[in-house]
Amino acid sequence: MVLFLKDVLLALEKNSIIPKTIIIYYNVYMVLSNIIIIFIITLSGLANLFLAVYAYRKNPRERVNRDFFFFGILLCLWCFTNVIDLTIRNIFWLRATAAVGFFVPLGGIFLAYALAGKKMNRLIKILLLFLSAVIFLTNLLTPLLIESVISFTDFGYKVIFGPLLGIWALLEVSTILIALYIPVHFLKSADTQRKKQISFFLTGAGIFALWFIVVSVILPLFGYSQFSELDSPASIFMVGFTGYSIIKYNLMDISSLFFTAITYSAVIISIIAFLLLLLFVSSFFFSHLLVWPIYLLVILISLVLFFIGRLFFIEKKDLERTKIELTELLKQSEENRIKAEVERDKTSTIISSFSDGLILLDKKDNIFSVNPAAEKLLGLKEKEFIGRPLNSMVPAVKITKARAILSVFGDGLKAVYRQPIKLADNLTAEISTIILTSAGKDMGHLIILHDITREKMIEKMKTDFVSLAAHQLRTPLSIIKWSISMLNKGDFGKLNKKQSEVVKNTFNSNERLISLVNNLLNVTRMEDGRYLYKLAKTDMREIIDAALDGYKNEISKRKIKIEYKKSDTLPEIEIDSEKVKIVVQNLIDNAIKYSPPSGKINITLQKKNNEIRFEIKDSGVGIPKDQQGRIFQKFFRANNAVTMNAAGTGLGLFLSRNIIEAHGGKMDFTSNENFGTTFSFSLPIK
Amino acid sequence: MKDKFKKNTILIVEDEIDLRGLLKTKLTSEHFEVFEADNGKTGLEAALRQHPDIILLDIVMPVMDGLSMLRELRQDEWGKTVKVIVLSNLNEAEKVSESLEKNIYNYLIKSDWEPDDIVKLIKKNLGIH
Repeated sequence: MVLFLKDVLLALEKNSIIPKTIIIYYNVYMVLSNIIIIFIITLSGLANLFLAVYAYRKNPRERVNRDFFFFGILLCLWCFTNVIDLTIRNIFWLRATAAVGFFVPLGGIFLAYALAGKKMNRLIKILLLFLSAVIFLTNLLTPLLIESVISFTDFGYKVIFGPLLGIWALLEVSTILIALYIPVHFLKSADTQRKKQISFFLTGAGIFALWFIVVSVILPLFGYSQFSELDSPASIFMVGFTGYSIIKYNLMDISSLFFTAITYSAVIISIIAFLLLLLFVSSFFFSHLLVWPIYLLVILISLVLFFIGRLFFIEKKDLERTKIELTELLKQSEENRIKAEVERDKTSTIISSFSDGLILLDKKDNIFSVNPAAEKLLGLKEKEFIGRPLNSMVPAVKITKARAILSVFGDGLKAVYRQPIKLADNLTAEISTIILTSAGKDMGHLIILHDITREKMIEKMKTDFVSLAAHQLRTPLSIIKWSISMLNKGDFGKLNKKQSEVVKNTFNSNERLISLVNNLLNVTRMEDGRYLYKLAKTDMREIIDAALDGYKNEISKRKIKIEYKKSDTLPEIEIDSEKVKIVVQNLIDNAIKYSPPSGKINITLQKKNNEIRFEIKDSGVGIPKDQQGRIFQKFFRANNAVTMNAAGTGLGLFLSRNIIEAHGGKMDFTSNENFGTTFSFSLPIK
Repeated sequence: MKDKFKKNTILIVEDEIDLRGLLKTKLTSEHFEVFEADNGKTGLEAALRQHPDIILLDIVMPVMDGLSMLRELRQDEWGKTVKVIVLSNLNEAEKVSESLEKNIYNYLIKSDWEPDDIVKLIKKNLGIH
């Protein structure tokens, strides 16, 4: 349109139909339109150059990239030849544009082969190159295609074509068509990704080719050569579609290129636009010969900008890397979240399917979670108590149960371990509390309720059985005891010496058996928790005197010397005297049993602080050091004790310590093997 | 009112014939007059009929156990104050009989006592030296 208008105006001015001033305005307008065209061509050229260089740098070994590089360089060269032609306006540069222009479709053929992944026949290659060289030189140096130029004004000119125009046009069009046909031909056998890449390239190339054929071939054939200036700007279509193919379908492995190119271009375009504005203004004052160096300056500055742009690009790359890292991080945190969720589910499954009742309390000891086992044990529902304090259970559940639990803790929650509580007549549980800490921080408490009803039942059965067995044993033992005793005392006639000795031995053996049964019963009752029940104020001296009295025969028989020191004033203490007597008897019995004949036993009874302390020291075999730790264990007997005295149950010391501890006292010993042992206990004065 | 030259009477309520026989031999030789019963029911009848000075009472017996007999005995005017020594092999019975009443003079585990000691205890309870 612009150029057409120019022709009309020039004709009018020539015939003096319009005044000169209009022509001046028109000239200003022409400068502007020329600048716009130059601007577009420059932009296409720079973009082509950029794409070409970038594709090459990305992967120089790839054939497509390499051929695209050459093609881009060709396009760029052609654009700048056009720019120079538009600026300088002489026949040489006009011929140059036509000469270089012929290489563009030729380069297209090579690129098309590369895109299709096919190799070109070497003979055709040489032939093509030779043909183009001939055409290039003919176009550039001879008037056969462009004969001459008729200049109208500074800004317009008419081309007089030579005789080769027709042949040139035919060659140009057929080359373009071949370049387009090859990718189409090979498209069928390409894979989906490549098909998409190629079709975008073809669309861009097709539009460009059509445009080129119209403005630079068909129109000049009909005499309208002035539109041929607009051919090279159409290469912008090529750039656009190729770029789109690059970002969308990863053409030539340059995925983020388009974005980068846009960033570059935006900066470059704005600077160029500014410079062109300067150019536009300056054209009022200088001839366009002066504009030319200014234009060189623009290109130089553009190159500088290109390298500055690289900085943007690098920054962009950093940004992209950061973005990838961030995405990775997000992905990781998502994975962690899923992991945490799986862990949480696992934990809650474990808690809810745990056979022990679990009550989880938070930092403030409010109920955080109650598992089904705990709900069943306490007969309550979790949801009614979440977030409420532990004692809020009291009114809701059977009060005795909740009280039983709360009574374990008293006012505040304290650590207990396996403390038995009776929840109901037929329901006994062991309660434990655990303080939950994580990295040294208090996280709350866990109350564990372990149902021990069955264990309790079995224990009771065991106790009942032992009691019954012991009772059944005691009756015949009593008959033997009474019979032998009366026989010995002469109730059935006097015995001779031999008979008397046998009867005494029988009696002693029977006594041992009775003692064993008694011990068994005591242990059973003690474990059953019903042992002390006859607490009364007692003088310890009486107990010791009575016990010593029981052993006087044994003492005199073995010629053991007893030294007994007791305080004259001792307060009475509240004890189960029968049981404490068992302790004293046990200790005296041991001291005598494990002392050598004519050994010495020291007994002291005294008040010490707020306690009554009993001590018995013998000069016996002692307890081996490695076995001292086990001396209070049930059924344990030291090796040397077994050797020395086969009889013995290993229950005496176990029972004794339990009796003393049940009174709130303490029992201890020191021993040196072969030198003797000292046992002592102390009972509190209440 | 008892004749002061009359023998002291003792009722043995015990199902185990050997133990009963041994005790009877021992007590007779110590100049006690001895009555026997082999369960709580006959024991109660004998006690209420003979009014012995002291009753030696077993716990685990057929027909009627010792504790039931004791409970019935204490319903009787005379039986309220009669001296009873429980002779048993049952540890737990000690607890049960204690909770039942305080009026038991002794609770003895048979296998821990010799007949001589039982005689001594009876004599002590009756004030005989």
